[in-house]
Amino acid sequence: MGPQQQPSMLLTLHALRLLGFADTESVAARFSQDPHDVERLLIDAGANGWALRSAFGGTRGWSLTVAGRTENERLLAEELESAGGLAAVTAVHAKFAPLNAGVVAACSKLQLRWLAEGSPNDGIDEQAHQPFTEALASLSDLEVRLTAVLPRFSGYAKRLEQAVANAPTEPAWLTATDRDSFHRIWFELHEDLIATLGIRR
Amino acid sequence: MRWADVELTPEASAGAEGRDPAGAVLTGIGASPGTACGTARTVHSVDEFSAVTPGDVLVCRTTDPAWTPLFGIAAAVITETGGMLSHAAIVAREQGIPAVLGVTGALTRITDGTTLVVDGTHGTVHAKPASPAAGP
Repeated sequence: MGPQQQPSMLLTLHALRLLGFADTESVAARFSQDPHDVERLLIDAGANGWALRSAFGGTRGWSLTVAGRTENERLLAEELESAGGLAAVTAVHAKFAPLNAGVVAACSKLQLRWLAEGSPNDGIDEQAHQPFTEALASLSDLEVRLTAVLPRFSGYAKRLEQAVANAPTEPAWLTATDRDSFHRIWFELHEDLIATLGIRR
Repeated sequence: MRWADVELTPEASAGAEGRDPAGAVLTGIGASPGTACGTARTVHSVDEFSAVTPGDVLVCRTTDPAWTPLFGIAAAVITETGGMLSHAAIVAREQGIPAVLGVTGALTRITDGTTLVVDGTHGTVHAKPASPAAGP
């Protein structure tokens, strides 16, 4: 995922925010940080009450505490301020909202169809696929505007592209929770925008 | 568990469309179909995640990606916000658990520990009495 980043508490807490519950390797990989540095930062975060190491569903990992979310948002606000990115990110968020409504509707429509007719074994038709390819095209433009002020926003379009490419033969790539599906990536991006702007869902 | 444990404000709120049928305590949007029964776990923030055990009914305000793992162990989910077209609805359908969303005041109207029956097809939540004779 791009060149190695200078390790920072900002990127470490933010990776955790976006991933929800994740092991050290995944937290490090999210922003291409060194895993050893990230492990050290996570331990520091734990000592500060910002992160918690626990076992969940048989796997061990880290999650952000409420205090950690607050610290995450403080660091993000500093970052946004120093990048002078408020206007750009606010404008992108305004464009994202209607796109999000379309994506969530498209995901729901597919799921409800599958619930009624059973999951498809032979892929999905062009008509069902189209809203996702269109959302991806719009999002690619927005990502360019985001990365112009905050480079850490890069990567969403590429991941969405992969999910869209996999979907015609394996529709689970649109909505599943057990892989980097279109909806999972989209949900993460939504959280990223909200966190970056410090607004409430 | 006593019926009174989920006694509600008497007036119908925004989340209670129409009149509740007898026994239906709370109504919202049935966003993911199916019926499940479990112990209500009211969760206000990530700091309370560890209270959720497999088979619990997750009750919360809204969700973000951090909440997704809870959908993997919960029997059902109830949220105060959202509806048919929300991230929580999509994740609940993927996990195959009933979801009743947009239940106004769910966190205050549902008492933690109550045994609930969640009907995600019809959008209703009601308390399951411990036995027919049980009462306050």
